[in-house]
Amino acid sequence: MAARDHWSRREFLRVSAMAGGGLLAACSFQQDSDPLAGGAGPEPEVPPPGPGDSWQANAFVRIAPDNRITILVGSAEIGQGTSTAVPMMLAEELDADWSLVGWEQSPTARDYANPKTFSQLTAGSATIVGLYRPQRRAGAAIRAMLVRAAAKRWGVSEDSLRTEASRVIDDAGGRSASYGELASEAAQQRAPTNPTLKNPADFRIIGQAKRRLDGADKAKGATVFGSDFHIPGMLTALIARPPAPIGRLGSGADTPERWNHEAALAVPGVEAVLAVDAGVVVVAQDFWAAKQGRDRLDVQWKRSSKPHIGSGEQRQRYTAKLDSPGLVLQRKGRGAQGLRGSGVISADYHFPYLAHAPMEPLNVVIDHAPGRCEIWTGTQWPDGDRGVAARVLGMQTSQVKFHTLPSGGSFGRRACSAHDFVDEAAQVAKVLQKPVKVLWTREDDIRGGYYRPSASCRLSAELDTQGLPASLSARLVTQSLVGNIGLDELATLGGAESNSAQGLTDLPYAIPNLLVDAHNSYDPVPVLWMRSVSAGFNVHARECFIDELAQAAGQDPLQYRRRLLQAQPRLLAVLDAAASAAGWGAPPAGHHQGIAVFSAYGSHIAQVVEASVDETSGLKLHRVVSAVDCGTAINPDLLIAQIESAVVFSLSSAMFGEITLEDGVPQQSNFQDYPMLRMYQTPRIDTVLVNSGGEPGGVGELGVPAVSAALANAIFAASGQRIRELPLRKHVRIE
Amino acid sequence: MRSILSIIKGPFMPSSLFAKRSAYRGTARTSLRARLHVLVLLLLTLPATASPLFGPIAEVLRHPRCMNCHTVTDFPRQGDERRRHAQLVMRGEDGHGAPTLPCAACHQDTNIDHAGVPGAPHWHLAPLSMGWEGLTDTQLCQTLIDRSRNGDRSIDSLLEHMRSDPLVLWGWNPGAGRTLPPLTHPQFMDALQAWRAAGAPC
Amino acid sequence: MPTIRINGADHAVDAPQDKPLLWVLRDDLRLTGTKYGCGRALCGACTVHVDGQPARACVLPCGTLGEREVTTVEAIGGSEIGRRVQQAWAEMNVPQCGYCQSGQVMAAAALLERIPHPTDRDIDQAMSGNLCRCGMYTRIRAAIHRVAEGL
Repeated sequence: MAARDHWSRREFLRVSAMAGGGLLAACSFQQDSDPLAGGAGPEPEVPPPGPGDSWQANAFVRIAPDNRITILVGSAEIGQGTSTAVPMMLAEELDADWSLVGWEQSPTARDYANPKTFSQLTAGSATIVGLYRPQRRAGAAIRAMLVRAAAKRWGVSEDSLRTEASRVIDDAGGRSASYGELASEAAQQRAPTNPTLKNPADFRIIGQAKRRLDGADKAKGATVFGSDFHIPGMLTALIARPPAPIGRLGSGADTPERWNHEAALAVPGVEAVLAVDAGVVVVAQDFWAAKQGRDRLDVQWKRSSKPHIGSGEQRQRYTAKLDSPGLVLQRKGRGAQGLRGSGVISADYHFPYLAHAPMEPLNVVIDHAPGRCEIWTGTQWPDGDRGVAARVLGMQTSQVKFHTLPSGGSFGRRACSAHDFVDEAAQVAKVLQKPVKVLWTREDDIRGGYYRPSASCRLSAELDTQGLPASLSARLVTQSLVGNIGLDELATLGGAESNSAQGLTDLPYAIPNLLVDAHNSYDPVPVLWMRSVSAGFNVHARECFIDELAQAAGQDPLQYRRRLLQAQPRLLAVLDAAASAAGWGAPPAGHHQGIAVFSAYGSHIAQVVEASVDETSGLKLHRVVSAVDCGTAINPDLLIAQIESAVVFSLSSAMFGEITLEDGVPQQSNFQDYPMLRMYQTPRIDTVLVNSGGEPGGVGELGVPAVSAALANAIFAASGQRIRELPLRKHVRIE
Repeated sequence: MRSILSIIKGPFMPSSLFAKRSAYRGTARTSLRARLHVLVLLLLTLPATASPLFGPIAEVLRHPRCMNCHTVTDFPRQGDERRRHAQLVMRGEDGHGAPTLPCAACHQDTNIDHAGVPGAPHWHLAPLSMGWEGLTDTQLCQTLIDRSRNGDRSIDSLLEHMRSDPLVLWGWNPGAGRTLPPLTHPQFMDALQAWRAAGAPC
Repeated sequence: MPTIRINGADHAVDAPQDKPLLWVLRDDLRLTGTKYGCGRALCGACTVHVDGQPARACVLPCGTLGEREVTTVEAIGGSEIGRRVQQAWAEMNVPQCGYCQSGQVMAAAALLERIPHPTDRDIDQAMSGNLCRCGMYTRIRAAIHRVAEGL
């Protein structure tokens, strides 16, 4: 354990004094996971930076003379609370006075990469998992330097000093000094190579339900999101995109053939109408003029040769493919090839395309002139976006200054593997050469593609004499998230396909014979990961199917799962905790319960939904109980908020979410036909933490996949109806 | 009326029918009590024999553009399928929505075409007394002319309301994507005048 | 050129009469606390107060405001209830991404001004026009109750 806390060979911390006093620390830790780093050898102490070193650009902790500490966060704040939880981890080891800690979004630079994603990509529920140790190491190292500075100042041994609330305290000498006072001297100390990390039992900040550092500003409407960002002389652009979002930008998309240039230009405030690969762009003084101009464009589109698919036709194709073997992703025991005939229980589940629909539609502010470019946007992937912008503009990445702003939601949409929204904005800027904000309307967002893929999943099983599954086969038809971003060769590898098979290839249940195979369908619809990725459909199908097996075996769904999860103590613990908190088996009269489980990102969850269905198929949600074990919670209240969020997100998708295509064109456009749960439809949500200690797991996506299955299972309990396709509103009435 | 009377007075079923189905002959003469029972059932289920002059008017009033805000519930409806209004929009005490989410939070004096939000001056639900859902033509007609329920309107002022009230007129100018009532507004007025001329029969 | 009264000050705005108040606030006056979410009065992110009543700025033509007084999230903290709502929001970790919260705060303030001690049903009726994609409804409800306790 201690060894892991050493700075690795190419990991370093640079600390220096700030002009006017204070301390500024720069840290690089992304090489922790760099496969090329290799090699052991002694780890040299890193000397303080000399004049001219570029440490300032990468500073990630600032201690000001007035004792205020600012922690720069390299992960994106998309609502999940990184702007609070990441500083908490560093402040813990620093022994900072939390009331004086603030945060800032970091610049876009390698030093801020998350070792789990090898970049500044904020995704995969990896922020806490990836930064738990690096942030703590950095805090511990800076604390050690502050202690050294105080020891030197007072001529005492470091061991005789302790720290608390941003002060170094000399109990014997009856004196103390604030970090702010010591900062300049601390900056002259050598950074330790192996700072000692605290015993978790001594945590004073980690594990506390601290308020969000961004909460007050957000309640005041004072947070500057990308769509709020403004620079002098900035114009506003809207893009008329092809009605069918097929293929990647500029490659096989429908192309604009004719449009009413003059009508758009005639709108007061419209400055220019441009054609770029992304579509026809109306540039105006402000949004309203741009919108009026775009409404008058009347673009005639030339269809590409790519097929324009329909959802009904796709469903038929997927269903047919379920009958033929796919690429084997996992085989255990004797597989499950022989599953056919009587005694085999089988069910097909179908899932639609989903739109992320973050509350803040996409937007990019870009200021480009020859040899220079600066970009401001809410994104989960600033370094990736910057690379794409540089490519489009024919510039060096280093010439593009990229600022990440808080995102008004994202759920994966702003981690676009095609970086479409920044790509487009760069196309506009390249022609315009003026500062411009490219805005998306809600309709652009819902119709713009990059959907969570649609999928069909067939699950088949044979039960043993105990009623437990002896063999299970899972066959999946979907679009590969990797294959559809142009990495087709990767898509044929099991590793890439497994991106689509989350929840199937990591089955927690003890089933001796298992076969998971998949068909990658190359539909010309751009797809993208959405919160919980493929687990969103696979775990839904799996957990509904386990319920069907329990029913076939005549067993209680909770007890059935318990029998299959004996080798999964953490999952078993959350299952029992959820059942107990929900009063499993004894719901209020007329209410019915469903249960489901999910493990990923080092975390475990069990969820119980309590619902009722009336004689007119009217569905009402009453309560959702979740029990979570994520090891260690950095901020338990924000963890609970994430689960609450995931519950509403998942139930919204399960009940309402569906993008249908006709002739390639999405049929939904705004919240009236892509609805989500509202206040009055939201059930009581209770979340129980049963953390087992140890390394923290991820929680941002954890609460999504199981709860929708628990709902479908509750509907079965209430009505006897097995609904095997989403959204549920096709089968139950929801007002 | 003749057929109804015949239930009480006469042979209940045509004798030609019974000639072929002798098994029923024994029951051909049913008791008066049973006949009255059937009569009540028939009266409940028969289409109302409303004035033919009111029929076309009823068709207009029953159109979703009118009916969605002439509900008998504590909420308005939306769309031709008459789904419950989204967002938990309520009738409120005065028909203008809950004071915390009034109709006017979204609905302006005019249609907002860019948003597809319909609007007209004093946008609100008709009072419950003017709720038309579930009524037969006759009942609808009676509700319409009942001064205790129609806002104390005479037939003349009722016609004036239909002619000039901006909320009524909105029904024929509901904005893009909304269907229109089966009659044009002039046809509707003609129908109302013909009905009035005949003494506003129900 | 309409003159509109916003947060206690008159603004002569060089904008067409039918330009929605939302875009006058955001683009002409740079009061960006009021958010665009749907443009069709479906999400409530643009909620402001007009003479104290909640209204969706995205469908409110600026030329129809006349003498009516507009209050935005930038000024709602000036009222006792508005200040308490914002405080409860921060204390109870209500915001996640925060984008919808300007509208939520405005809707909640309007509710509590009219009904200082709302029932859950009152809250449902006042707040169901405001979408929160992060799904913080249970926290919004709890925070409204928290504010009510102090009134």
